[in-house]
Amino acid sequence: MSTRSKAAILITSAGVLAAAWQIGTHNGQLVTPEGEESTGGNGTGGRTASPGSTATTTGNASATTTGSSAPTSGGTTTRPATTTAPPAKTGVSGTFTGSTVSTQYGPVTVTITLSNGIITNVSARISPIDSRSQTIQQNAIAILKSEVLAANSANISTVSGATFTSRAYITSLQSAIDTSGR
Amino acid sequence: MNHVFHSMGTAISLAGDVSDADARAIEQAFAELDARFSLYREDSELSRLARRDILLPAASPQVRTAYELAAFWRSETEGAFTPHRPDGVIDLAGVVKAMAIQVAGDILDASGSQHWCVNAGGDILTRTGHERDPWVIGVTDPSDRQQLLTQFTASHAFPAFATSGIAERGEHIWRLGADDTFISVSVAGPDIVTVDVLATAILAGGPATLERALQRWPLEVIASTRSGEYVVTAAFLDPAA
Repeated sequence: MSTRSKAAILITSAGVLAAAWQIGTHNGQLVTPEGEESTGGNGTGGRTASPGSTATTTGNASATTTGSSAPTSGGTTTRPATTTAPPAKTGVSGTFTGSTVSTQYGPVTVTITLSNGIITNVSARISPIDSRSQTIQQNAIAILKSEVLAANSANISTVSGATFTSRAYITSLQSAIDTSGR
Repeated sequence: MNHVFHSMGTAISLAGDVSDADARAIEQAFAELDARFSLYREDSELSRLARRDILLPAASPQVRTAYELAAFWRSETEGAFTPHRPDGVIDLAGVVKAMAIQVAGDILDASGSQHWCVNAGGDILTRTGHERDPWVIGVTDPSDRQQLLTQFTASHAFPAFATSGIAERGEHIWRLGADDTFISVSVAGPDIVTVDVLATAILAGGPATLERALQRWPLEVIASTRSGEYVVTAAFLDPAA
């Protein structure tokens, strides 16, 4: 039986989440996954999600980099972006949704809205966690990329796999166990 | 040596405290269910149903009960598990084997056996006796059934274990939508019908079905993906510990 490494590499988008929470500011307000905008701070807070939070999305970003221009003679003016983020630069705009990942709070899907390279909105949808949150946290899904699974064949007393035919049984591990009477 | 007999196209192994009389009774129970429900037998009641020689309301109570069970699970899994084949034939294989395993367990319990393991083609139900060695279930590698992928130790809370794979005989797996994320799904849970159905449902329905199943039932799951990853619950993170 092949040996398997014990090192588990859990895929999460923890890096993305952390970055999102820290950058997700708008008008000095911290965008939280509960959908409430809390004032204060400049958006450097980390995760504010807590167990028991329900799925929600935040309101639409209202920051724009182009506004109605005041009529003036000679040329147009644009209203500056109303965020406390660094000055607008030419960058990517659009809405990007990350894949659903498992966190200690449950499955989370993060959606980020970018406007000229500035994150203007962050929303996180967390699957509802009910009062069995303890159980669900224990059942949280990990996605293992490397070979971390292990089995000690000496301890195995019975075998499960996709249903084998009677013919395939003959050469199966189960057959070996049955004849050895383990 | 364990008791071994063949039924429903596969091999059934009985381990632990199993008397010869119980082994015969269990073999008989499997034979009766197979005779009634097998679509591989022309004269089975289910084949007669498929040919419309009889209609469901006129079928036996056993068939109607099994159909209700399958219909219940179709609803519970939002269609990921269903007894209805695309051609309209009712196929109850998805529940009948699990029902047979449950009957086997009932026979053993009734005899007073407190330590046993029934394995029907990889679907397993256990009872662990006081201070007896727990049943350790080896899970085979979907790409190499001679190799073990991981293991699971059955317990009072998780006595049942079932695996569904895409290369399965007799288990008609109809993909829900276009989801082919998983190639093999193993489920540990509180009873054999639940884990058997959910292994099939999660294989057909993919990650969304898996998420819903984990929210609704106490389960441990390992699902092998087409891309070589394994989606697991906590029990499989360090299973040989």
